[in-house]
Amino acid sequence: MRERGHILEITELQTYFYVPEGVVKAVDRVSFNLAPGEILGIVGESGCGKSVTALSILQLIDPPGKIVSGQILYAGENILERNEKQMRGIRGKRIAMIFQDPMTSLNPLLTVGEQITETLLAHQKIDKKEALGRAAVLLQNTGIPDPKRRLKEYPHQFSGGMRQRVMIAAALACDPDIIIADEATTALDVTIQAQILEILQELARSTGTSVILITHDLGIVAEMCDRILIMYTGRIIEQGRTKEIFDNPLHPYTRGLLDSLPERRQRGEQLYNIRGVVPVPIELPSGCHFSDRCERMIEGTCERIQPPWSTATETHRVYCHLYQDGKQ
Amino acid sequence: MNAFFKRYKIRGIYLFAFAVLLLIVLMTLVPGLFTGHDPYELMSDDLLPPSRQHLLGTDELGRDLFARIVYGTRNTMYVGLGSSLLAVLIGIPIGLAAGYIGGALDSVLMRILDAFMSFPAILLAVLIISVTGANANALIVTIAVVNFPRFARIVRGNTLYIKRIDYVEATRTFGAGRTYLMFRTILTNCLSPIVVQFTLLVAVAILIEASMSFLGLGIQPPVPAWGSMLHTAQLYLRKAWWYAFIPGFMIFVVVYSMNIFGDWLRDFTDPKKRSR
Repeated sequence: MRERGHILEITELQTYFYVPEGVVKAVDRVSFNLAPGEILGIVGESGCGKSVTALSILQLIDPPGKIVSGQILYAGENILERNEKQMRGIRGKRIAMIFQDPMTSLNPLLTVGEQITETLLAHQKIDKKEALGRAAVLLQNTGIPDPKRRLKEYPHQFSGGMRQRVMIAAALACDPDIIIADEATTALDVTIQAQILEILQELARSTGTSVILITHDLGIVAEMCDRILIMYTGRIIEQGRTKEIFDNPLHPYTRGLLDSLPERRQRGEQLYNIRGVVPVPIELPSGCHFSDRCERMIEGTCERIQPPWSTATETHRVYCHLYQDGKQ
Repeated sequence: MNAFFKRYKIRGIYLFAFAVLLLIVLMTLVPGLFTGHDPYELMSDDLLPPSRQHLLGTDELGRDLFARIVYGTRNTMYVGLGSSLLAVLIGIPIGLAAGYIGGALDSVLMRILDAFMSFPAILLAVLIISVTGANANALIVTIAVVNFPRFARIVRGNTLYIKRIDYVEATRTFGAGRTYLMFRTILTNCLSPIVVQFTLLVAVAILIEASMSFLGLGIQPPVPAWGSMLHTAQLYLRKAWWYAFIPGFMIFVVVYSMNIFGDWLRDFTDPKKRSR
């Protein structure tokens, strides 16, 4: 993996939540890079730390959560050292985020035009008229017809899919380097989902914006992403090019996820399930977090010792005791 | 007409309240419309019963009662509205800060509010007036101090609820700072309950003003105000019962109407109603 020219380089990020029951290591030494123009998928079950990672990038972690340590290099600068005021110069302007529920992520009291121009006017020195013009163009680009009229309408006059298009338009308003889509299509119908993803992909490609696509849906990831990270209870357990991961899943958890897909079964065949349940984030085995559910666990090693990184190819890495330096 | 009434959820009692409040507004703004007499002028004999010349009779110094009632509206409303506005101006930032910032600030603010609310309103008012002296402006400050805690709590409650809704976080991810989020995003989304509370605050304020003036600690004669008229009228209950009855009745009707108006506003701005 080329180390030069990455738009985002995250190293050993640790975000913990201090709750009465103990310490939840929501993000436990996560490291990854993002290249300009790349679409990166972060995949995992609910609670694995995908969203917390995204929020950590924008320093939106509130107490009892805390970014404990790590480094996030954005265009070479460690933005974890930025204070709140400085972070506001990044949020929405250089790194933007799209949320899951289009029904609640738009302010019901502002027109769509006002919401998009809200961001524009906050970050750029343009006047209202110019901002509205730009907003109209953005709406048009996301496929909303008659944008000038639509700008004057309120969110409740839009359907879910259209609201997400508005969110995408707002996110792209200041031409950010990175867009983080946090389960942005989970709340939408499947057909609308496809449309939205297509729009996102097209816009990202044409503007050269990198996208971090957070989802639990492997199907989406297969369609959209150049590379994938797979997370489990706060750690990345495998990462690589999409094709590599799907063709050759190395980690037993990844294998389990892929095997669980109904598409991989014949009609009438029993669906596969990874045995056990995702552990409570406080009582985690000290070694590999997946060890107690793993079919190929090595007694004495996996549950006690932190698994090392092994590289299968230059881009495909797995965090597992089964592999030692690329050998199976 | 029926469709209009249905759309705005108007029923009989609300019409009554609207009519009363309209009357009050007119009496406050254009008292000359109602009476030609000067409320300060000692023009006739004392304590005359209602007649053609003096619609409600005269008071103990020969001033026209009706004129005093009409001009008194202005003073009463000045205190009622003024103190409520002040309470709102103090209460909103406190409620927003406590709700949004939370943590230690919230605890401290809530304990302070609790302290204020533990005091019986009238007692607190009397305490403050005894220090500042009794006049309309002191009364405004006093009533605001008595009223703002409850109002701040309501703002805080709404803030706690709204701040969890996605669009607040979304606006934050677009780079909004704390002040913007509190005052532009959250506040605008709880304006409806705030306006409703405001009308109820005014009702309470009028009552407190009346009580204070009745105790002799409010607006002082010769300035006309319903509460102070009640205070003076006590002495003449036997000879001129209407002197006490009229101001008391006015207070009752206005406070009642404001409460009804507040109820109507609450129903009218209920988000559960179907929007277009």
